[in-house]
Amino acid sequence: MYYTRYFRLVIFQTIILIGCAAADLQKFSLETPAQVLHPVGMPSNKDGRVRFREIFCQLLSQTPEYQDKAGNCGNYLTRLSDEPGPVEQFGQLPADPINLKVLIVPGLLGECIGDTAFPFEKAMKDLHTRGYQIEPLIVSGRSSSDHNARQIAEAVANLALEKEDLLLLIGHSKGAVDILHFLVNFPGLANRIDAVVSVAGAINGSPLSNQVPDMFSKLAAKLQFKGCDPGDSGAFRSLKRPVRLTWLANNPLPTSVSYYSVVSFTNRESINSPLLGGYDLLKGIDPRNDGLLLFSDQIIPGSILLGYVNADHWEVVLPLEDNNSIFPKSIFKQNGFPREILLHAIILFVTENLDSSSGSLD
Amino acid sequence: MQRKIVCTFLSLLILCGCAPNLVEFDVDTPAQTLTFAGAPLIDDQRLRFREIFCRLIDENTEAQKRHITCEDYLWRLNDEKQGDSLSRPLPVHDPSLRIILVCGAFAECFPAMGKPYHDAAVRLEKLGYRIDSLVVSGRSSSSYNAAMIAKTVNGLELQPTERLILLGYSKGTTDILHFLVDYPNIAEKVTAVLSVAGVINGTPVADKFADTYARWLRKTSVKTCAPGDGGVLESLRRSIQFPWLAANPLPRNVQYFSIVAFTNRENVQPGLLITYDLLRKIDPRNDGQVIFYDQIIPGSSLLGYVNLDHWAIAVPVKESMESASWIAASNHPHVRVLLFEAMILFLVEKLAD
Repeated sequence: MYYTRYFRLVIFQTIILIGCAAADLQKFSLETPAQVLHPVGMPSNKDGRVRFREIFCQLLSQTPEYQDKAGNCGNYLTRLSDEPGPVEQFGQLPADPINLKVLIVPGLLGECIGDTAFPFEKAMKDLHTRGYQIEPLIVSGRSSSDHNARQIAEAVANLALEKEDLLLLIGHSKGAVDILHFLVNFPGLANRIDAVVSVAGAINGSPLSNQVPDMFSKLAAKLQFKGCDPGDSGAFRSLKRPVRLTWLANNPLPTSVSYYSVVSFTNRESINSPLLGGYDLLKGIDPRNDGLLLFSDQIIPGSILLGYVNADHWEVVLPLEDNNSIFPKSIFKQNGFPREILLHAIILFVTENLDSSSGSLD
Repeated sequence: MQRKIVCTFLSLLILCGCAPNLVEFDVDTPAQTLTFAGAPLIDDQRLRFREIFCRLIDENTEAQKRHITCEDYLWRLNDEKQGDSLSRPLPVHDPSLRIILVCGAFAECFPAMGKPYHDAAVRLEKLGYRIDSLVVSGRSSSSYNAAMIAKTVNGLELQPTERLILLGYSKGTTDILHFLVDYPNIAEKVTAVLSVAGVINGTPVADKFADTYARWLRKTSVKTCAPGDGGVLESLRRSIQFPWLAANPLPRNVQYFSIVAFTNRENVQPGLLITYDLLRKIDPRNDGQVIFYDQIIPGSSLLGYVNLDHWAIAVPVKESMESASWIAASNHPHVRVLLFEAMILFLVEKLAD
């Protein structure tokens, strides 16, 4: 009797093991070209990785704080197999832009934790001292992308722009999605935008949002966050993959705007603990994810791909290891990702690209 | 008792590590493709292909008798355009298309299973088409088989009016693409390539099993098929084929067409269920061997999504096993005949344009 039960248990475990093994069909391999999942008929992406790496690495090498880390620029920017090899000499750095205004749109719950950490918070301060005009554009942290598109439209409409000014919108995570909805829903105002950069943007949504049960969405709607109201509570629905892919297929983005994408993903050891659950769920689809998004889901159709950042979904923009009141500081890895360099490199690349060829690499 | 506790604890630990299926079987989604930066665009031709396929079914007595409807066999994803009521008439057959069917992996090893679209080809041959099957090495790499295709195409004497179509099924398409890249001069004889459930990006299933095959089965002798170079699964790895595709632009003188297969779990035949379930973790919209977004040739015309599994779309595997328990399979031979004719008629029209 005992052995029968024991045998059953072993069989049970074996079945589970087989089932579990199925979850990891794909390995964490960098021997792959850049991958993009898009609805058919979307414009092709262009590759800006070589020049972006030049700018990023050069900035890193010139910043005293990172002097000893400059040689490890490759630690921060992952090189996939189709990125051409390193250049022997850096090209000249683009000049600091004079007439560029930058607005940064945070992602899901960004408004709710705005006091704790805002995307590129310290980086913005650093660049302010160099004369850059960068401001946060805070949208509802718990609302749908259409709701937030209206908030972006209002902010853009109220912006005082000189004739020669260029306007760049940078969106982190769902912030990038909100920006795309703004461009499509408000084409008149979209004419004021020169460029959009997605940083770890939830362009195709995330398979994780399919897993968020309605119950959780309803609960989230009722939760009282200190810094934000529920809005239309449509945030989670806006991030569902079928919703996003269908939206992209039905809404061509305005061609008057130049688009750029920065993708984040890292290996499991570098994922901060609050994101490990999401990473492990996504690992079954592809281990090349940032804890919330797959690497192939983060690229705007028709955009210039700037690079793959070796950081998780939060670390790429949020200084949670420095100051936050949500999680104990000790649970965050002290990876020291150079966010100010990343933001600076993004702005310089975009400025140069807009100057040279109206957003093209040709 | 202690052992039981350890086992139970272990089971719970393992269970916790099991990831649920994050992606649902949802056809309320647009057509999508996994591709590389700079890949040529896909041309959506689903509307016209549906018109042709549906018209053939409507006009076929046997199909009517069996209550076969085209909506049952062609998925309509949410971005497919709706046709108007005044669709164009069926194209007229043009036997000047010279067709070579290239079989998939292991087809050489199981001749009793039948060649892709054998019955359908017999029917079209009566209309004057010249259709040949090319059984490439069932256990070899795509480079190895590319050489076989090159030899066949090179030796082909085409009439001045004839246009050469290569129809690849499953790995047959992968082999064809390697042939086009490896033998560009011979590839100039080819007018079009049609992929049916093609392993264009490779498949994660091959990534899982290629090492095991290489270690234990690569050199094993099988009565009906030689080991070849043993690279069959290696060629199908996504981690191999996808980088190859990104690094090797396909010749532009050839026109490309893609038919995709996927179906829900209930329609997958038992022989494909294990691999279907493996792929389901990534995306349940697969055909038991390949995920739906891995089956589209970059720069091709997308003809449609067929609601059949990886075998049923082209070969009579299940039917040849004489299992009467799977009732749906009884319609598959008829569907395949009409599907094949629809593909050829579509090509006739498109190439005339």
